[in-house]
Amino acid sequence: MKVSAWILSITDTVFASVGEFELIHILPDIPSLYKVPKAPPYCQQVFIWQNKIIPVMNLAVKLGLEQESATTHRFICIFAYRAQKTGLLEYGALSLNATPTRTEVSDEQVCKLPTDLSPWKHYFRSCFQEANTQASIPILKLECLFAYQDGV
Amino acid sequence: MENNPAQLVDWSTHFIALVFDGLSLLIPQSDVYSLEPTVDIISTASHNGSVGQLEQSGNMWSLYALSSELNLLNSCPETYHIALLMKNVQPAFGLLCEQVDTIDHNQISIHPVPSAMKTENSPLLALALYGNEVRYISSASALSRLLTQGQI
Repeated sequence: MKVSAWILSITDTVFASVGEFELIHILPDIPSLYKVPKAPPYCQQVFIWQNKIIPVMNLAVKLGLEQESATTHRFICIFAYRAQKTGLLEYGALSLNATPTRTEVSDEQVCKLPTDLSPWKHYFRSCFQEANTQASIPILKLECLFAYQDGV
Repeated sequence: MENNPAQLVDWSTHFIALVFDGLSLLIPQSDVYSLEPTVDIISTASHNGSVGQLEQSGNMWSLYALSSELNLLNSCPETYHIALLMKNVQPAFGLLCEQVDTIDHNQISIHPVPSAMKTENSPLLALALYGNEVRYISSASALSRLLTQGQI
């Protein structure tokens, strides 16, 4: 059985994915961003969307693939997930290099997580090999990614 | 850290908005002792991160200046003309700022700091939507902890 997923461009060479219904909105324009003092380097800005305050995460910085958050965002996508502690629906955004692309994934495509991402395996549900490019695409565990990180 | 302070705190009915270095920080009015012009500041050699002192009602208040990143400044910028003296905290201290305003609780909607943005050294207790803008909520005790860290 195949299911639909979105592939997200984290850097020019690193990709991740989420389930079809976890991506809820691709912003057509970069919104007004507000820098939150004392926030961690990978998640320093918020914006307003439908009367909610949405944090923007730079996954490349979070995963140690880039040193600093880029000053300009190319695309911002909003995701929905159930918070680990409360089970309540929450929202977070990722800044991406390109607009997400759709794909179909089956159990036969499962593969190992790329070595450079293995320190961050708790942020991923599993990994699959994309049919066209043969690239290994980890599946994000959004509820862990957007959770409080002790010791930051 | 994982509790939502925005829901746990019995917020004041009014906030004082301190504006400095492009940041607007909301403090419960119940934490504010008085507002004073900076003309009477006694400049002192900084031994505790303060940029000066002010005598008020027979007490000396150490005065601090912060950047938009909520880092302690070594000297008071010329544009910081107002001292906000805090109460409900020991030792008493004051924050210097450029402008102040009062905001009613019903003018804002209070939101938790997103979990991914929380850090151990942040004095931010919550975020607020004020019209189409984001504001930052702190308190005298939360800022006091920040100032104590700054002295180490």
